[in-house]
Amino acid sequence: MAKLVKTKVEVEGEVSEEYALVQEPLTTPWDVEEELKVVGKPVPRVDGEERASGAAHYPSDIRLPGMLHAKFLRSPYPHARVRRIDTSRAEQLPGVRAVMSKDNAPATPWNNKRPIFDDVARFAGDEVAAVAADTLTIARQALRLIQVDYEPLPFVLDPEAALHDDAPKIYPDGNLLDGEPTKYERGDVELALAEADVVVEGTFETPTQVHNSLETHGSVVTWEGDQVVVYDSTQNVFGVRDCVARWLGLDRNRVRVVKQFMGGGFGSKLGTGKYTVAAALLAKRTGRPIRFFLDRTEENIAAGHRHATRQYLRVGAKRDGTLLAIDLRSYTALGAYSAWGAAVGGPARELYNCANVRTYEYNVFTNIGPQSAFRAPGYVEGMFGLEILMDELAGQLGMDPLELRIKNYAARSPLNNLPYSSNGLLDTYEEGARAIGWDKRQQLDRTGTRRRGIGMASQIWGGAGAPPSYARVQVQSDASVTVITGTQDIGTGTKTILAQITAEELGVPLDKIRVEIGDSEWGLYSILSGGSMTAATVGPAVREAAADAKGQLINLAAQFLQVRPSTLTLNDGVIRGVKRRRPIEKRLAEILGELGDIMVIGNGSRAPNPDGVAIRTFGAQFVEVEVDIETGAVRVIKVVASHDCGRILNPLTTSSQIEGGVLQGMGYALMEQQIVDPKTGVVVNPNLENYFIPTMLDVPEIQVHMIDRADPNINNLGAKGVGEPPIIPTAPAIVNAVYDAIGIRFRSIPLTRDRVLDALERQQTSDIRQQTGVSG
Amino acid sequence: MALDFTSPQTLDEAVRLWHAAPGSFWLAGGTDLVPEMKATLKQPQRLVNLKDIESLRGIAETEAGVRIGALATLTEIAESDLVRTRYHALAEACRAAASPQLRNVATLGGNLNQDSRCPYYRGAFPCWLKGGQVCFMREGENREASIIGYHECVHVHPSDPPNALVALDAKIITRMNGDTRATPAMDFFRAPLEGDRRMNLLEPGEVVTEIQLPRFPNSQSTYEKAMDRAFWTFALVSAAVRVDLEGDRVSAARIVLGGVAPVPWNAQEAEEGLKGQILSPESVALASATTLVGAQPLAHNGYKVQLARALVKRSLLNLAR
Repeated sequence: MAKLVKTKVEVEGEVSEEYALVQEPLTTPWDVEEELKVVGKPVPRVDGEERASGAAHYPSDIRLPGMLHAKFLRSPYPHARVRRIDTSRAEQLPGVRAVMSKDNAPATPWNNKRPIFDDVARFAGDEVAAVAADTLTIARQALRLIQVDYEPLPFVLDPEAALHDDAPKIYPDGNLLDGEPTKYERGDVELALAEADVVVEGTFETPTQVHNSLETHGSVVTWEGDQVVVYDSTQNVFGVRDCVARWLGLDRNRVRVVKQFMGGGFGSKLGTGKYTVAAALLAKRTGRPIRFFLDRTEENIAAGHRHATRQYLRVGAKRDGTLLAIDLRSYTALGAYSAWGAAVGGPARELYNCANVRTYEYNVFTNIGPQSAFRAPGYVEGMFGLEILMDELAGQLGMDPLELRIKNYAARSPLNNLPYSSNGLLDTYEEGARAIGWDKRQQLDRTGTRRRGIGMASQIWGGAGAPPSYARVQVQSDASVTVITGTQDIGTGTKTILAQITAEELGVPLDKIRVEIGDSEWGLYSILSGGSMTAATVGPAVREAAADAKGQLINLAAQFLQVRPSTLTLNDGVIRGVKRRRPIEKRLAEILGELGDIMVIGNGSRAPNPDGVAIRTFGAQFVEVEVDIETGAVRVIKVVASHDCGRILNPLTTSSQIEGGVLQGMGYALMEQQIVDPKTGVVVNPNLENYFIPTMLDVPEIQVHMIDRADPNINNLGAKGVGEPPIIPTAPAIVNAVYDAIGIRFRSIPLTRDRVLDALERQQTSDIRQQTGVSG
Repeated sequence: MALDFTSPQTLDEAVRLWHAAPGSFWLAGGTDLVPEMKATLKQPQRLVNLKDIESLRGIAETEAGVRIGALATLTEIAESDLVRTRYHALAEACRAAASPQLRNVATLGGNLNQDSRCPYYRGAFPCWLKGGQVCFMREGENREASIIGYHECVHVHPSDPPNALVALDAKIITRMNGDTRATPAMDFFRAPLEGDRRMNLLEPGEVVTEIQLPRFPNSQSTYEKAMDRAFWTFALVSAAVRVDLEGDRVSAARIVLGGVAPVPWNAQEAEEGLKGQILSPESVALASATTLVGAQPLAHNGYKVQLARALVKRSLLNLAR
């Protein structure tokens, strides 16, 4: 009997309480010490060959008969009133099938309750109109024929400047989201700072980081009878289904969303795209399939990014290193639309055992493209400031930076004083310090022009997963198995681990299992793939479904063999048992084969998380860098990434996640930044030529250390997520290593040559001043 | 708009075809022109493909030195034993450019005609270099801008091989209608000026046919490039350095910097101090310190002076080994 429960759901650092309908669970967690047969093994990706050979069809590969191509007309101004728009010339161009603008689009509200094509453009790149045409070339030509009468308005790029009284207003009631900062306070921060022996403070700045998904955002939408089918490069199949259903006024069972593969999302594909909705509307208008994919420039300026931040941070401590207070005021540049700001204060609130913490997070609308979730949104930015200032505090106290962190380790969650379901933070410190040679870092060469240094930083994040999610395990009469669930593989290896979990629980070989995901048509709802939630959400539901199927198979075999079910086992596809004291052994396929076209259907759902515990993932990264003090080049030599995310389901997919996170974090620290021209408000580097991401030659040695200890208190797998944790500590660890190498504390990234050389020059000047006794 | 594509077999035929239709563009590797066409920055009506013209190929020794055909790819040059042993800086400069895939296609002739990579010029800005009124980079994002030798436009010459060609006293042979002319590499490039915004001396319809490198009796050269990441990006600053030795003393030196000016920048002050000197830490330090003394950096590119000096120092010390 299904049960309605209320459960806490955490997505990208935001906690909410939601209902979930769940079944009475059949499974209990695997024993922590138990060696499993398939789960935890380095099983190669079940779809690896498909992906590598090009056989895999990504949404952008979809071509349908009669398909039209759609493009947006985008505002050239960062802020402008769209006074009048004349699409008549575009409409007359042969091959143009539909033009949509504010004059003829539905009034259904989009972001921030504004229409899909508004009469104000709020960033350079904002959508003003859409065209569907026979070819992409014609669509582009048509865009040039649309005449728009813009009234340019003053614009603002900096989030703090946007809060001034005389700043241009992006929305009538001001630029501050919700009209006030997100406030959090425990204890008395001012008092604690006044009583502290040491107070360190700093202003930290992080850049706008672009996801740069290799497959750009986009959809192909077509009508099949009374159903609309959406092929979408999305992390949220059911979210897209629901949004399209709402826009078209359809029942949810008349919208099918398909996403078998995708070329990256990193959080930017959690929402439904304006291109998806526009494609659906244009498909309805033209009666033709619509392909609506962004190009590389649009991907850069209008498909989301990690918001830039400015953080004013103060930390106070006792002489012995005990933290007394953390005080953070942060400003995030949300861009023009996104109606949420990521939890920049998260690390300050929960990483350390500190009684007095205050975080004021100002989320501010600015005239750039909308921000979106980006791999551990908020925590990447917040950890940057906190962990650099912790190192500075250690320096002031004359303490080892690692020792300072261990001293302030939080044994219970500082947010709610709950015990952790499990917490391997201290293990990750120990493991990482040993692997990098933390104790020997004084011996690194710092005499020549290329100077080595080692630094570290910590990680905390969610990853518990949450209901609801549903799964079905079908066993065909040849004993082949189909696993069906509505989740999506965003490139992390979801298909592979779901096959492993099924093989383990059901007792059938891995190669007999086929996993069907990424299609809302199956009807088995799964949550979005973000917040490091997928494995720990869908995995337990699949195990439940497999257990249900297994129970039925054993029962069925018992009836067929005329024995008691309790005497039978199913392993490796073979039923074994005892009948009249003689062992019996029969292949499952053989038994089922004799029963005709029967089918066994096991159902499972994700059970709620336990109450009374805090579920977090933990980790630490230790980095060795080399800084060339003549050329300003910062090279990352080695990264030791030590993470605790419960039971490791597959060390190969886990390593991939950790390596990818480290590289994205390294790019953030060293080279990535979206640059907006201050005078025109237009992005200067909306491409992969001038926006730098690491190349193969930039990749350092990455040592992955997985604590791999099942957490028995969370779900039937003992596993937590690992998608986001590995990007969180990388940048501050690199910056701390650079300090260790050259004695300069950077508070802004990326560490480009100009920033490093200018700082080295200032350092030299101040050294000379000190030596000669000149002040100032 | 229709695009006419022609593939002549001879240079004469190519020149004829170029002049026979308006809007003609030369096409060699296409690594620069084709993306510009996609971005509608260049809108040719006719492409005259040079790749079938056999006489434009090859790298060969001549009496005077070495001849490199304009169609030689950057990979061919980087891997040529002749170039690697005698003109190390050029081999290194070709190897430091772009990515392996691009180097396999990009030609030296095309590289000499490399268009500006200034993001404002390439992007959605009506900038001065493409006929507008304002240089957006000057007051905008100028971290990558020129620090010397600039006028209205502060972009830098983006390519690597030209710096080496200037350092190696190369001659650039071009064909204009029926005439052939040889231009020293040092004079080939130009800073765009009001009234004439070209980046080099090529006239409409003129085409690079070959590059000639002179014979040096006792010369060594090297190329250093500083980038925002390990590879596959244009230089922030680069240095092509050649020293000719008589005994253990420098008889002549050539120091050419990339990424600092709208042309490959010849750092003559630094060269002067090296003449007659042994390449010692002291003489190298002096040359390094006198590099770019007249630089006039903008708001965010002062670091280029220091970076250039570091590369000059490193190059000379490498050559001293």
